[in-house]
Amino acid sequence: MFKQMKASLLASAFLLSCIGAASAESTLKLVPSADLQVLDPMGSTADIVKMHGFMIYDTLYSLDEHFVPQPQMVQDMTLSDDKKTYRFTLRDGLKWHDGQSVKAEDCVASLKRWQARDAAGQLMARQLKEMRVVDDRTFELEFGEPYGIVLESLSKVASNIPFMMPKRIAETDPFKEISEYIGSGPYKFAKDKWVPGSKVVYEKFADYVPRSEPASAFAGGKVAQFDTVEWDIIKDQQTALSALMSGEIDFWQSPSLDLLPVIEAAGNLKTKVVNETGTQGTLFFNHTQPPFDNPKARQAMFYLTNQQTYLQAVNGNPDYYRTCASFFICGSPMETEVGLDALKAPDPQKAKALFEEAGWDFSKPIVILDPTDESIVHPETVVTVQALRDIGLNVDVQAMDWATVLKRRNSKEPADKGGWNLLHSYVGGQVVSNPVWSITFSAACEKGIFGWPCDQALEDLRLKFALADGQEARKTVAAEYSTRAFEMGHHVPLGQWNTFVAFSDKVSDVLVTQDVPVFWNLKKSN
Amino acid sequence: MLAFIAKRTLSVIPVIVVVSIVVFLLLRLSPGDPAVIIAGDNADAATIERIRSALGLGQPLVTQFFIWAGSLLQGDLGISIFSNIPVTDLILQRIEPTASLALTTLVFAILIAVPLGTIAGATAGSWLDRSLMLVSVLGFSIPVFVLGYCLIYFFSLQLRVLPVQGFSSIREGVGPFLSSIALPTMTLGLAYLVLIARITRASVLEMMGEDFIRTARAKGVKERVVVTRHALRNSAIPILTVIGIGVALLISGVVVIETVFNIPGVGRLVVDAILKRDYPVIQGVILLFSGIYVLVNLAIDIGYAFLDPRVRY
Repeated sequence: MFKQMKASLLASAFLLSCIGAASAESTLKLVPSADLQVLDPMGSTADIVKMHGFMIYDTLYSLDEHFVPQPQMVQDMTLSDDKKTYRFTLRDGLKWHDGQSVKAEDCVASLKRWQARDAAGQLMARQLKEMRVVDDRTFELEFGEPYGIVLESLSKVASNIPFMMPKRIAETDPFKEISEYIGSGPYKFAKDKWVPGSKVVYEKFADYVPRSEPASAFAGGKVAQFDTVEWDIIKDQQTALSALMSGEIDFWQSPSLDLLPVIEAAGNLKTKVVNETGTQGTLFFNHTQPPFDNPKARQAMFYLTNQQTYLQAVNGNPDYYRTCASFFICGSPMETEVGLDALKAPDPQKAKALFEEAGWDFSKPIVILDPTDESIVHPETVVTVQALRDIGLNVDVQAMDWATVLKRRNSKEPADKGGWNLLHSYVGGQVVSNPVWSITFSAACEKGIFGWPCDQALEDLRLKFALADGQEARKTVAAEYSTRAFEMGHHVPLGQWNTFVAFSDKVSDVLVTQDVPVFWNLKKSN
Repeated sequence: MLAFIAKRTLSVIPVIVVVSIVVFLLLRLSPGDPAVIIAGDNADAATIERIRSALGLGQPLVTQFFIWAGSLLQGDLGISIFSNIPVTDLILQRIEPTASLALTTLVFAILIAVPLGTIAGATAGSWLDRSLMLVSVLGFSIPVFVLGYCLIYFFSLQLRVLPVQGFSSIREGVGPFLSSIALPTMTLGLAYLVLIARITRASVLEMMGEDFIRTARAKGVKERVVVTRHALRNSAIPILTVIGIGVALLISGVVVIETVFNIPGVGRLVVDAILKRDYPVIQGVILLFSGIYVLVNLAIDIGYAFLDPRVRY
């Protein structure tokens, strides 16, 4: 009898220990800023797709928190004496999530797909003479002339990002979505657990070999500390706050600034700014329609812009915003105020005079698209409308939803026939950290950004930036770009602001990335 | 009766056809372009056009409609433009939370509202009757999201007895299921509860003044029996009608509740799809909602015949 009891107790203890071991599986639960709908990193430039990309894919080079490219999948890089050929050797032991080894041919195929979709990739492709596989771990990029931003392009954090994927997947038409989501990053995508609009689950990739260097933003050793990372899509701010306070989630990517006092008072929560450069507000012109087909009218808007007013309307907390008289986000290496004195000293009367010089009839309406469902663009619009009315201009504010703005902004019709004159937006700091990462800075007429700015000098400067050798040379070109961009009135930067992440006080080691948060390295205590 | 059921069931078809045409045209003629949303801020016109072409959105409207209608006839609701998942799968993933919420709300509201309304009607002017009227005014006046936040604050953050958000399937256990659905049910159910209670009260009160009630009392039937067997039974048709109308309220209320309590249901699916112009998902879900509404009304009509033998079709 006693022996039987003893055996039962031992068996129970063993079972309990098994259950204990099972429940010891570590999970990080977080609320991202948006729902993940597109899984192909070339399929969308949305931040949430970028975050997904960094969970499951790896990059050849990665940007550290000082905006410096560092090798990630690459072990060695050599540059030929004529500075035209880059030879990359991959790290030993890299594996895809399906168990296959990462090969040079996979990387070449991935770069080709990226070059078809990304502005910087397209620029690189135009300068490339050949991309060739040398052996399983080595490949080369040969350029027609020295190209200055190879490593910067390979490590760029502004979407689209050159994530590496197996050759068979990378050979998918770049304009069609891939159907397998296999990377070589620290976490695997658990497709069977994905509920679009509700939950995204990632599982630790056991074969991932982190670099030995300490993690710094997207660079260094990516150590996956959790068996599972679960993204819970909670769209309601109040619900997300309650879930964080009650311990149902560990990390919240994008709390509203209004909730900061509540979070700070909660006692068991912490906050951090992971993107210290932040986001930049922008005012775009339709360069093809009067009055903004005239550079004087466009320059007038620089003199009319009081960044402080925009930032108060959009953000409202001086600890989280700053004025920045630079096209390239302040805090990044290319920050420059050259040519932008107008932004530092707003002068509405000067703006009015420039509109008059442009020959604009003040009784004619200026059409502004106002997405009332967009919490940043709408207040930006309200500020501009008031500034225009204050100098006697007639403004036609057309209210609509954001999806309609996205469609309408492609209209080249006259403003009174379904077109537009002005619209606002905002861009992540990485996107506007230099003149080539995005078509925001393009001036390629019909082939460029909506609003169709058209200026060969600016396009030449973008290419000159890409070809410049070294950071100092690039800074000089960025200043030239800034001067020219004001002269032709490309677009108006409206200042920049930060957001913060909130997390349980059990979470530690959250990395500053100067962009979206990443979920390697950080830890959670019990 | 069988002929009536068959006829009403068949009448669902033209309703669905009309709904599908209207929804298709409304979506295509309203501004917004999924290709532009997918392409993102940094896309040039050529990229947008290539994406639009890959999605089949460059074809003429009539061609797009017939392709969609042809697939629909084969039971294929299409594929989500954004997630690349079949719409049927997306709906199946989401239907359980929504159906659970609707069902628990119905049960919660009816089980409380009908007895309360009956007692209030039978004891008009009493403290219970007056209290019910007061609660019903409150129930109609408080927006569901405000009530939701109040309940979360009290039960989840203060008492810590119920979760703030999320949904546990009944397959994961009855306890977790009830725990996750309790607050959403109470929140959504209150407005529905007071609506049914008020109609029940008014209907029972009206019946209590009828001759057959006086006759029943004169025969010495106990008051409890008079109320439940005579007054309540004869009040059933207006109550059943309001329950049917309430299903439409439930469908609209579910969207808000699913957002407040982060329930991955069909309501949130369709709102997200509308914001992104994910045409196949919007069309699929609206067809589903239309079908449910028509079928609920059919069930109510059939219910009339069972409750009142005088009703014949």
